[in-house]
Amino acid sequence: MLTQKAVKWYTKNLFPHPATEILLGLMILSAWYSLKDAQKLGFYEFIIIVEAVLLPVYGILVATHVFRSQRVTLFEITLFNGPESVFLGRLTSALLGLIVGAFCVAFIAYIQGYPKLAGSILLKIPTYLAIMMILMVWLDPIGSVISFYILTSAVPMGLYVLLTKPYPLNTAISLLSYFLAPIEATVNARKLSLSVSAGYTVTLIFSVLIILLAYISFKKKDFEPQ
Amino acid sequence: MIVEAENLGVNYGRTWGIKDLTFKAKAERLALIGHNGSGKTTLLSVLSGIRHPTTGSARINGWEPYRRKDKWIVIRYSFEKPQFRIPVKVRDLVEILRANPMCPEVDELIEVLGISQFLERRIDSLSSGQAQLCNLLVALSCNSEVVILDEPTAHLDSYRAGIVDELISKRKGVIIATHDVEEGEAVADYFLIMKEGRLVWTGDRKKLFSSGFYEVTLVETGLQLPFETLYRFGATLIVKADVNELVEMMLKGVIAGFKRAGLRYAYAKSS
Repeated sequence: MLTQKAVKWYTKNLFPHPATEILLGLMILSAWYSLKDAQKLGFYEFIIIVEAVLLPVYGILVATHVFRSQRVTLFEITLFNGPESVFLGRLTSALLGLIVGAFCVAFIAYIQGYPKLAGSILLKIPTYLAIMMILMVWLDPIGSVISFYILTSAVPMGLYVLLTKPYPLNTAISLLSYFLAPIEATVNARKLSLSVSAGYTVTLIFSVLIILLAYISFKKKDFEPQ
Repeated sequence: MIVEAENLGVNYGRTWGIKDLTFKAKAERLALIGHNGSGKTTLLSVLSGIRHPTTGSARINGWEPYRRKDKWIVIRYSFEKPQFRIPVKVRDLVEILRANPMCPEVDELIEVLGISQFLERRIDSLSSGQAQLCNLLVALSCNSEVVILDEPTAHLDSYRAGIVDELISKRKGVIIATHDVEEGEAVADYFLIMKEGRLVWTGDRKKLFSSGFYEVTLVETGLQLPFETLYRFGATLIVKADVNELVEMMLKGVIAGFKRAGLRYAYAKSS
């Protein structure tokens, strides 16, 4: 009962107007136009605009809803009789937020004739969720936002430079690519040491493990309310 | 309620928030008194179980709060400086409490605390006093073995502060931190005075008020009294005097009133 209430509590005003509408509109338009001539010009535009800029910004918009100060977190834990409901409420609201954005972009990729790309976009949901939940536990809201942006935008940009090199990348970098930049990794799969299916599987398992780790850490977390 | 600590210490890097605290207090309502930065909130965070001590241990009724898995239910905690950036209405908060079978006093407290006047406001738009009332509602409306309140009336006007103090003084199992000596004396039956992370005075009401010293309020500031003045706080003096002489001076209108010296004296003396 209290977990249901917590989910409702966290999903209220999850999509603040008009920021979400503008960003969603931008993502859909950017995805559409950057994929329109991708067959001839490649996926460079789509990767830079959607994977390295718009999706991370959209992720931050969703994440700011669950990145809350220690005082607010303590208040909510007291309200919901413990950290379990708070964690599940935040997880659910972040999941719902990410599903909306990722599905919109994935749908554009699918109808443009790139189903594999759509799959890589949907893989953003568990990876973003894992990053959000672990940052939420360990860092304050500002630190979490900065770290989230670095991990979801700056690192994929760096990986993109690596993927332009002619030689293949080792297993560790390949795994990192699938986890932090799945669209890039899918497009450049031949340069990676892991196949797309193996990369996706490991990424999914890794995401679930990080979320579990975040849950356990959140339950055991010490707070400093000053 | 028995609250005890043994060599209790908490550090923040190289700085100790509290250090070597050892005490045993048997009380229904315990007050921690101290100035800003004296370690009250740090001690409260250990007693409420939200952080582990660096050294030593703390116990409430024999159990260590930070080791209990059900600490969020047996201990209710209200912290200082409420600033809630939460995009929901006060009504949403109230509905959650109403749905919680462990919180039977929600509706009564909403009326008593005056929260019904701003039910439709968003929590992130409340004044600090209104946010504090919501904070107190969550802590006080639910059943628990211990309620821990950090500066519960710091943001409230004197009318609401009086109501809150009255509510607290009727409850058992309360630990309150305050720098307001009047509030401490109004609600608690055992006191711990803290300075720079250490305990400097402990005792019950009997010990506190048995000194034979008086706290006198002058009608005009700056007046000199024919008694030994130990401490001066504006128009409030701590004096060593005969009670009959004080009555006489009050009848003459020289002093507005007097009472046995309590926390203010104990606090000043322990400096």
